[in-house]
Parts: sequence; structure tokens; C-alpha cells
Amino acid sequence: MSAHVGTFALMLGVTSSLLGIVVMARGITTGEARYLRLSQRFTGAILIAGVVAMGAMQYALHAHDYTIKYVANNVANGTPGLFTVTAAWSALEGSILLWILILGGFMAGTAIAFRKRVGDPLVAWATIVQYIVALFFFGLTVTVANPFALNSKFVIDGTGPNPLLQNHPLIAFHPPFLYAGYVGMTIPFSFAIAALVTGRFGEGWLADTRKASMIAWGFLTIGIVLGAWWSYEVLGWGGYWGWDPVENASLLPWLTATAFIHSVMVQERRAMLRVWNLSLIIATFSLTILGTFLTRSGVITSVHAFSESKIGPALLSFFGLIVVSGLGLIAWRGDRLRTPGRIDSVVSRESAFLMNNLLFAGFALVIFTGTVFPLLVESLQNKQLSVGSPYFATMTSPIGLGLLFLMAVAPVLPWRATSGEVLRDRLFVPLWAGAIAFVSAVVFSSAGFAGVCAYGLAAFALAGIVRNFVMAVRARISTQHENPVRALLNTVRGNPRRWGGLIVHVGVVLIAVAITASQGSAIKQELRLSRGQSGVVAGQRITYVGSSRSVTAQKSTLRSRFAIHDGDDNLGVYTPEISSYRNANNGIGTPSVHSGLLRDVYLQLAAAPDERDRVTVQVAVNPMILWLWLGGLVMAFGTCVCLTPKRSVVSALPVRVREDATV
Amino acid sequence: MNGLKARYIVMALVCIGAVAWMVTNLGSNLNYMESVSTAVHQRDANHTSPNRVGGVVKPHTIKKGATFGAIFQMTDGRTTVTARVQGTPPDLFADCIPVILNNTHWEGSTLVGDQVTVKHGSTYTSKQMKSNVDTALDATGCAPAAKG
Repeated sequence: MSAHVGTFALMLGVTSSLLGIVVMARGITTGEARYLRLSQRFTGAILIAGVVAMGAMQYALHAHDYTIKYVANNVANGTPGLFTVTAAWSALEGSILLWILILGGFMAGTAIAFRKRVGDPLVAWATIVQYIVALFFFGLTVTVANPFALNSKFVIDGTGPNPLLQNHPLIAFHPPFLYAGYVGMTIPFSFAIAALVTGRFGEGWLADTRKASMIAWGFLTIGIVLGAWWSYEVLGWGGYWGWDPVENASLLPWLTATAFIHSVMVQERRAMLRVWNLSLIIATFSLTILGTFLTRSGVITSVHAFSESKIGPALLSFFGLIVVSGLGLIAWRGDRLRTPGRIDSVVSRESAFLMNNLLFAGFALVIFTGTVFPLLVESLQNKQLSVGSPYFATMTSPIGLGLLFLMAVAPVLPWRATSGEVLRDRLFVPLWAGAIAFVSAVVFSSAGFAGVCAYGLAAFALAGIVRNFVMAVRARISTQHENPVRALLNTVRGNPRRWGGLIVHVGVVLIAVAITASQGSAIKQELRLSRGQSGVVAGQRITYVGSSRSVTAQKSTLRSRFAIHDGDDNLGVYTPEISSYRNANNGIGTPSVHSGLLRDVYLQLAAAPDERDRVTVQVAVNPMILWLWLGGLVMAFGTCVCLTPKRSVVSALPVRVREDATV
Repeated sequence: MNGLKARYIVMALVCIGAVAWMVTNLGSNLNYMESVSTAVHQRDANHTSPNRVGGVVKPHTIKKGATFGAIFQMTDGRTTVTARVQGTPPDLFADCIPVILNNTHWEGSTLVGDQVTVKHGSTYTSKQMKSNVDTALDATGCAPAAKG
């Protein structure tokens, strides 16, 4: 039953995408408004198709309808409710359903946002591009990745999800957020293509897609941070980032998207960098498809690659189509894309943005090369190899430092050109803060040269942001006689994009500090302890309290309890565990982490109690990891601030600060 | 105009330098994965060992180390060696599992690595790796289908 409903919904999706394309093409060629209006309606049909297909899948999963192959492979009678819900995206076919659902949401949302501009060719072409993307993904579900394919065998109990995907509630959040980021990029991409086709590559399409780009970027950022969190807190691989190809695949579109949301400001303000912005968004969208290919097609071994499938060639072809048509359109419009704007001075906001873009593009190139090169060699020479993480670490740390430096300097640089006096005035406090942090880091921390620079630059950047806020708020207090809280609120309301952006930068500073600290001085050690025995790692006393076992229909779990003491401070009892799932031979460990502002104490069971009741536990003391997650939260908050509507508040800025505060 | 030209030349040089640096760096961080047979061949030929050696854990051969780590027989279906890993193997380490031994060196006829990486089951591996693994599994008496 659900299989029929689901398949019907997917067919509805295919048909709606096709009809959308045909009707829209008719509307564009004839210029008749009724076709254009009618075509927009199909976005609603696509959303409905996505909702019904996902609903049918959810129903089938909960009803344990094992006549559907996907259900039989991804849920078992003993799978708990939450993981039955998330089973819908625990494997390839289902994850395409999630993709479609989110795409439908973005498309319908865009149609509503632009409902008053159905006659606009830019909107019409953008919608056609979205329909083509939708057609591709619906097409996958009815051909190579059919989630409602029937089971040829009679099954009494399903296999259940991959143990790693039913071990923690984060499976409910990380994939949807990341997908929302990936899929959301479809909207700015479609407008970029529309701008190229219609020849309206002025600043209009940027303004139209500013919100969509920010939303997608925000989701992608949160998705990546959640992925790091999952890897650290749940999978127990000890770290939050391993330069794993799938991690890199999510970082690549983030890097180009981050470059994009910065460089659009240059185009809006100075009408420069048109080709560059078009290229960046096309690159971003094609990298989301490439990322999906890398993670889903089975070319890379990982928790994300579920099985070999025929989806690989389809995704790779689609990637090729995007790149070729994108570059083709840019080449075709080449001459008309030239812009009159010039950079007047090296010391200016636009020049800083340009540097920022070059660094982000370089960053992406480094990651791309390191990720794709082994695959190329493997397919050409049939040899397996991997790129060691030192490559990524050595290459990215100077780029990261450069970006931190720009983040500190750029927001205080005026557009066009500046004088030494202005710079001295604005950079005086931040530079001192940076210098003090640098010197303190040299004296007190064990960080290397890059680490010490990172601390200095982080303080430099943070002080610059704080100075910006303080100046603006103070101006309001003195001229409008507002209380400090109201003054701060009104400041942000007056230009949410700028102040939200600066809040995002605070998050980046926190993350930069966390990365520097955690890489500098993590201590890892294994302890073998009898009951009641203690061991000390980096000043943390770990005492083995005891173990217990529990068995549910889903898994059997061994929990070992450890008391942690930091000197005389009792930090509580932590229970790392090892779970054995019915569908896997081997146990899956889940670490237990005491998180603190200065350090985490990270416990991971390495071996269950032996015949003499001794357990082996891996203890890691990781400095300042918590700041990563805090930084992620701050970035998410800043993105939300950016998205709030701009309110006109009485300007209270003296001329000098006003120049400072414009974007 | 000359100033502009000079600037372009400087920029081009910086870019070339950066790319050259990247390529060198990449080249020095490539770790090829070799089979157990290749590792033994390298030992006999010139007493070296590959950085990463891939194979399958022969069933019923795992002995947990006295302190940490483990000793086990590792095979690619054609050649089998005694392997020792110094760090504690991850949770998934077990009989019949495809593994990679990292940073290896020879101690007599024992291949010693500082760490062992476990594939998340052979269903999640690439086609090439999977066929290698299946061959090895067949040879060791582990049926490929028995694994999840």
C-alpha cells in the first residue's frame, strides 16, 4: 500500500517537474502571463509529492512493511521509534527522498517569495533550472535509487540500520541540516543561471537570492559543525575532524559559498567581480553534487557510503552537465560580463574581500586536490592510496591564518581608499589586544609559531569586532539617550546584515581558538584498571567504579562507570559504553565526555572487563573543544540575525563612525 | 602601465609558487596501500616496508597483547604474515575483518604497525577493494556473505 502511494508520489514529482519545464518554456516563448503563473504552481505539486513520498516511507517504516526492500534493509522489529524515523535517511534511496522533500520546500518557498514577479524572465528561468534539478532527483528515485522497490524475499524481521546510524539521536539532525545546506544552494544557483541566460547579470539576482544563500549557508555551517560533534562525541574516533574525504566533501561547497557571500558585497557595492560571483555559485552547487557523488556512490569507503549503486554515474554526469553548462554560459556571455569597476587602492574593503576570496578559493583548491587525487590515481592506475593529513594541516594552516588576519582588518577598512590616520585610529586598540595575546601565548602556551599567530590574530579580530559594537552603541547612547540594551538592539536592527555578519565572525574566532588549542596540546593515554583502581592522565584522576550490561531488542550494551577527579574537584561519574547490535558482529563504542570550558576529559572503552575484571579505557584530555560547539552556536545565531529584516532606526552615528558602519 | 605589468607578474609568480608548494606537499604525503604479498616482496628485496599494508584478519589468530595492542595473522589470500599492532585496535577489529596496518616496519618476520584501521565491513568498500577482500576472505575460509 505505502509502496503504491510512494511510487505514485514520485511519479507525480517527475510529471510536475516535466510539466513545470514545458509550461514555463511556453510562457517564456509566448510571454503570456497565464502560462508563467500556471508553471509556478507546479512547485507546490513538487512539495506535495515530496511530503507524500516521505510520509509513505515513514508509514512503511513504522508499520514494518518488509515487502519494501528499503524498509527490510533499514529497520528491524526492535528498532526504537526515533531510529525508525531517521531510517528514512539512513541509506541511499531514502536520503534522496529527504533531498527531494527539502528541495520541494525551497522551491515552493521561492515561488511564494517571488509570487508578485511571475512575469519576470529572471524568475521564470530560475524556476526552470529548479525544475530541471527536481526532475533529476525525482528521476533518480524512479530509476536507479527507487526507495519503494519491492522485496523479492519474504522477510519476518528487517536488518535494521547500520549500527553507527542507530547509536545516537544526532542522526536526526546532522543529515537534514547538511542536506538543507546542500539543497538550498539550488536557489542562488538557479538565479545565477537565469541571470546568464537573460543577460541580466547586474546586481539584481544577488539581491534576490541574498536570503536564500544565507539560509543555505547557515544550514551548511550547522550541518558541518554537527558532523564534527557527532564524530567527536558519538563515533569516538577521538577527533572532530580527520580530513576524511566525506568531511572534505561537505567543506568544499562551504568554502566556495563563504567566498560567495563575501564577494557579493563587492558586486553590490562596486559592481565588480561579476564573473567571479557567477563562477563561485556555480562551483558551490556543482560541489554539492560532487560531494553527494563522493559520499553516496561508494567510491570512498566510509560510514556515508552505504552500498555500491548505479547512482554514481548519474550523479557524475549531472555534475558534468552543471559544470559544462555553467562555464559555457559564462564563456558565451564573456564580453558583456566585463565590469567597469576597478580597485582603487590595495588598502580598501574591496581589496580585502578580493584577498579573502583568493584565500577561500585556494583553500578549496587544496582540499579538492587532496580529496580527488587518490580517486583519480585509483581509477587510472588501480592503486589504492590516501593523502596523509599532514598535507591538509600544512597547507591549510597558513591559509587559515591569512583569513583570520583579513577578518580582523577587513571590517574596519573603508571602501575605495583610506588614510593612514583613519587606520591608526581604528586599529589601535585591536592591534594592542592582538599583540598582548601574541606575547602571552609565546610566554604561557606550548603552541608552535602558527598557533601563537592564531591566538594573536584571534584576539586582534575579536577586539576589532568588540570595538565596532562599542563605538556604535556609545554613539546611540550619547545622541539618542537610549539605555545600553536598547542602543545595542537598535544598532543591530539598523543594519542586521553587517552586525549579524560580525557576530558570525565572533563564532569563527571561537572556533579558530578551539582548533588551535585542541591541536596544540591534547594528551592521550590508555589505562588498564581493576575495580576501584585509579590512574592519572594530565592531572585528571580516573577511577573505575564498575560495569553493567543491559539488553534490549535493539542492542546489548556494556557500560563501565568511571569517576573523574580534577585534583580535589569531583567532576562526576562518566559511562563510556560498547554496544553490540543484532545486525553486526562487532561492538560499537560510544565515548563519554566531561566537557569543560578549559578542557574535556574524554573516555572511550578500549576493551570490556577481562577475566580479572580489568577494563581498558582510553583517556584523552583535549583542551577547549567546547569552544568549537559554542562557536558553531554563535555562527548560527549570527546567521539568524543577518536574516532579520532591516528596520529603519533613527541614525545616531557621527560622520566618522557612520562611514565605519556602512557595508 | 609598467607598474601594472609588474604587479601581474608578481601575482603570477606567487600563484605558481603556491601551486608548486601544494604539489610538493601532496607528493610527500601520499600513502600507497600495498598488499601483504607486496610487503613481503619488499622485505625480501630491500628490507623496506610499505607505509600502509592492507589485508584480512585470519580467523582465530588474534592474541591481545600483554600490555596493549594485538598480534594476529594478516593475509591477502596469497601470502600470510604475522602482524603486530602497537596501539589498541578499534572496536570493529575482529576475525575476517579487512584491515589496514599503518606505518609499518619489519621486526624479523613480523610486520609491526603503530595502528590498525578497520573498514566498516566489506559492504562499504569500493569495488576494487571489495574484490580483493572477497578473494582474501575466500582463501581464509571466511565467507564474504557472513559479514555485515
